[in-house]
Amino acid sequence: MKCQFCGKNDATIHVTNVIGNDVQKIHICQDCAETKGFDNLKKSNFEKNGFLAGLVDSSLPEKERQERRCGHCGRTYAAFSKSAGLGCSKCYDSFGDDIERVLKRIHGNARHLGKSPRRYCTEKVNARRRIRALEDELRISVDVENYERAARLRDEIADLRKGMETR
Amino acid sequence: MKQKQLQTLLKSPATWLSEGGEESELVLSTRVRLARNIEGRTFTHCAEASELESVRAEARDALEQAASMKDSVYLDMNETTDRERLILSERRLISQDMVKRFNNRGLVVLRGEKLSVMLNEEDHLRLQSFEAGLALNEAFDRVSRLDDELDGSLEFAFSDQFGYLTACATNVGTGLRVSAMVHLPGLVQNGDIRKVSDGLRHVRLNVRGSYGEGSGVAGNFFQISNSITLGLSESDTIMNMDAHIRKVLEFEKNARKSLLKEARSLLEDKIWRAYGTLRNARVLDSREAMGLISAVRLGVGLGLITDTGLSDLNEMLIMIQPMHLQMLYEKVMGPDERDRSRADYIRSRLKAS
Repeated sequence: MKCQFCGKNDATIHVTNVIGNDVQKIHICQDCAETKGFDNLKKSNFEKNGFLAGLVDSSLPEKERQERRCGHCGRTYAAFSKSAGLGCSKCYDSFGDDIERVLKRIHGNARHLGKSPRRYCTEKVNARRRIRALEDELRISVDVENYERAARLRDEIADLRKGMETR
Repeated sequence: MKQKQLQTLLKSPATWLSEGGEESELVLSTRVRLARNIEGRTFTHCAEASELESVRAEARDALEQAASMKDSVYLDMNETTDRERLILSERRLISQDMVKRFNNRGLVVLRGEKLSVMLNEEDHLRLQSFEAGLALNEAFDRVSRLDDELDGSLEFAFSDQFGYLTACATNVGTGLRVSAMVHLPGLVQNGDIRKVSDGLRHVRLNVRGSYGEGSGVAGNFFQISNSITLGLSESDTIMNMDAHIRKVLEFEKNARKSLLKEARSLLEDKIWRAYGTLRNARVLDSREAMGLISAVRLGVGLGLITDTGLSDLNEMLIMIQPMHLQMLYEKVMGPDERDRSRADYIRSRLKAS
């Protein structure tokens, strides 16, 4: 897509402004963004609000969207969808599938890998996490038709499952 | 507040500035931060004053117990002046946002400034560590150790599926942001910087011009940071970034080599002129000073200039900022007077060394 301003360079910055029901889209190249002052926008509002606003497009019907709110902190769905900002840790449960969709758009997936607080570091949790990672690997192996590896992974997963049950 | 403690903290430059470190000719510093929130508490931007107050007190108690934070200073932002907060932000200890919104915010800084924690910024706790040069692992280990020490006295908001829960969906998961401040005059000069930053964006790293007052890149300094925090473990994030940054450094080194080969006298002329100007100018605005320091920094890196060093130049980059200059000269100055003081300060630094 070409820049709307100079028409020459490829647009590398895409801004969606949502004001009320009005949706305005701007596609602009780096050079024009700098000369037209979009650079400041990029630093403050744009990354946080303008850009993230586009990420939450709910599958929920309008009415439910209006009424839905987090039971713990009271944050409304409307406020969440405006900025992808959460009110408290419970919002992650309250806004359910939409959160997952937003996280997938931002990060490419919605499954944590890495550190966890000590209270989560039980053997069972670790095994469950390991199984999930292996399942991801298994899917990839099947996709590229590496059936030998897939079979090995399948056995490993089965062993882990068995271990969890007997423990 | 312990006004004196703040003064002592600010009077001496951060230790990580002058320690050199790996690849210090091309990398000024490494910063790593972890975003953490306390389970069951409203996130900062939605919380009432009383809740912020109690979150801050709880976090502060936990930090006082933490072994890593022995010998640290606590600053209640309500008790700081606008000026002091601007200085703290010039030192990158607090965010620009915290300069403006400071009620019930706090900062705990370890002496030497390698480790610090912002309280009630976007997240309840923002743990951050600085290292000189390229040192992603060291910086992460330091901040992660503090995280481990706090886990236990604080119950961090966490979900098995999404990881550490944060106020903004962009930080959820590891809550980890790793960034390196790199100096890339060679790539700016040969025009490849755009290609390099596009390439980095493809592997989902951010590149931003840095050390500028307002917008625009000054002094060829860039900040490279990760943008993904979910689905990638801390160690993988760091390993990937380390590899990509080293690639960029290799490009920069090649750019410098070919500049030397193709336009040696022009390049040398530019560097020596910059050095001459810095040592003799009477008025220097921030942007010009940074451009000149950048050129001299390149000269030091290439072994042309030997009577000043990287750590001096790194320190200068911090000290020539408006609030630091005013602190140094112990008076309030307008822009014109600052430009004169900036030139004075730089002259005195370069003569003394």
